[in-house]
Amino acid sequence: MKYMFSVFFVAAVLNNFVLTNFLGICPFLGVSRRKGPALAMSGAVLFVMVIASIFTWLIYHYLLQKYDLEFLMIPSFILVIGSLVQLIEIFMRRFAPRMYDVFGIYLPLITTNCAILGVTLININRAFNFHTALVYSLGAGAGFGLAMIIMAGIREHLEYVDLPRPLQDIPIALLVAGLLSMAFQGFAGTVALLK
Amino acid sequence: MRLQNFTKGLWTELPVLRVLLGFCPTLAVTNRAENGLVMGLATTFVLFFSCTLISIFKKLIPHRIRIPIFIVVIASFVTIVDYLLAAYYWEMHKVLGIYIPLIVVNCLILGRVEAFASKNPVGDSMLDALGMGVGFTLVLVVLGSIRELFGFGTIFSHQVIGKPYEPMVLMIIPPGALLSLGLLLGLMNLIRDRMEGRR
Amino acid sequence: MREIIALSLALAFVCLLSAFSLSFVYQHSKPLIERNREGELREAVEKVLPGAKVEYAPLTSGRVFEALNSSSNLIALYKGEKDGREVYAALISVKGYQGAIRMLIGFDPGASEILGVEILEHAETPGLGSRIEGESFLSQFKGKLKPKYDTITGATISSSAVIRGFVNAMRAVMGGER
Repeated sequence: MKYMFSVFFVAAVLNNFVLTNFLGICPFLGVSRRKGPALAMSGAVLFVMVIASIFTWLIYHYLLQKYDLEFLMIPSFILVIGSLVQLIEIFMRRFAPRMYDVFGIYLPLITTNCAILGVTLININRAFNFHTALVYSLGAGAGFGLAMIIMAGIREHLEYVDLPRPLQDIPIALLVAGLLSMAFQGFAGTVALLK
Repeated sequence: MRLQNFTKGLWTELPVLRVLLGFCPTLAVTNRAENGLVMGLATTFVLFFSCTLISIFKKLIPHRIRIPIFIVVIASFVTIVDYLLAAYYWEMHKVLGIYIPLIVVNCLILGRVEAFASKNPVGDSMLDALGMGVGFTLVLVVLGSIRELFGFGTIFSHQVIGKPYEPMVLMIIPPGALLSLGLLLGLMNLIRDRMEGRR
Repeated sequence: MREIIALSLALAFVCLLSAFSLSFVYQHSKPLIERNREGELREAVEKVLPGAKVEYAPLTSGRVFEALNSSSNLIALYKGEKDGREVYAALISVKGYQGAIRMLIGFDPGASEILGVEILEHAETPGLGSRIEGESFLSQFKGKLKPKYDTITGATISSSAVIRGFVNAMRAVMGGER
């Protein structure tokens, strides 16, 4: 149980996907201007991350590995993710229209979100078992959301600041993200202490 | 075959600094100039071959499933690069790690294929891909050199700054990447503004 | 309906082509990759057991194995022979500051002597914790087991993790020495 907690914590905070591993930085920079969309995107990402992790893990362990087809990992994972996103979109539109109104438009963008593919690949590279992979993807999604929301809060305030033109929008966002990343570095070592 | 297709990738449509795509690998592997160079070349490889292949067969690819097909093609070339690196350049393969497979979702590649290669003649597409790839590699090398210089005192592992220099570790850890890129991008915007102001 | 079938076939065709070419590249590069992976391990083993003849089939039993397996996170144990003596190389994993640290210890249990320590993999802070890779830190482990080892200033957690892992493993095999 303690192990699961530390896995979650590492994924969400210590090795925060966006601020430490830079996975998902494109949507992070693109959608973190306002809290509303940021929250919605994070929800969509978390959702897809967990489901994609489940499916890709199963496909790898019960199909690819079994028949010596590991070299098909990259194409099959990305196809799975792409199709999953499509399916989720269709499903949501039909059965959860209110949810679709909130998350809907972000779903297609998620396919090229390196964070999703990243989580699925890490689950395999670090030889996680099913439960660990599940918790890890939950943590990764939570971490992504955490970074997004903090960022959105800050950027909303940045609107009122008189910035020099070259720094406006993306450059300042990167600089702020850098400071956030520095802050998150402070968590290093906490998991070692958890043991 | 207009040469402009190649040169635009080097300045006006410079990946990362002008066309705001491809940040993820840029931030992740530029703590050393050499890493940036290899990643840039790997991406160029995938970009070039994907664009060429898709441009050759553009008339045969059904429009409605073109995205999945593009993705399969790109993913295949990425896998090839991954295995070739593991076989012939093991050290670099370890360093770049999962960022090689992530070339698949580098919006740069899908972007070029969708916007250009699938609609233009083979020759132009090849030049476009090469230009974008070289531009991307240049950005990675520049950023990597800056970070390596301040973070290790070396460029391409050649000692440039001498012993008394206490390396700025910040530059080679994640925050440093974000700060460096932010400043570089700001600088790029400043240059562009000045150039446009004068025109 | 017909369109969907045609589209699916087209996609399937492309996938098949891809699978075919990938399997070709895979077959070709697989032996090279295996050799690279093994080569890494061998290089490290040769560093910690200089001049020894080593069997690269990992041990799964024996006194040394049991002692290490119960005291440390043992990944692999290799036996070798040097100057007529039985020597071993143990690959263990310890919990460092930022993640797991993989270290290789070359030792001669009969003479209670350590022949070398190498760090294979770590995720410690570059420039600080990464100093555990350095000769100046690792050379202190050679020779007989000492009661105390020096940590690295500015990298206390990383270096003490290495020391702790080392001491736990070696005390279990060679018995404590005070």
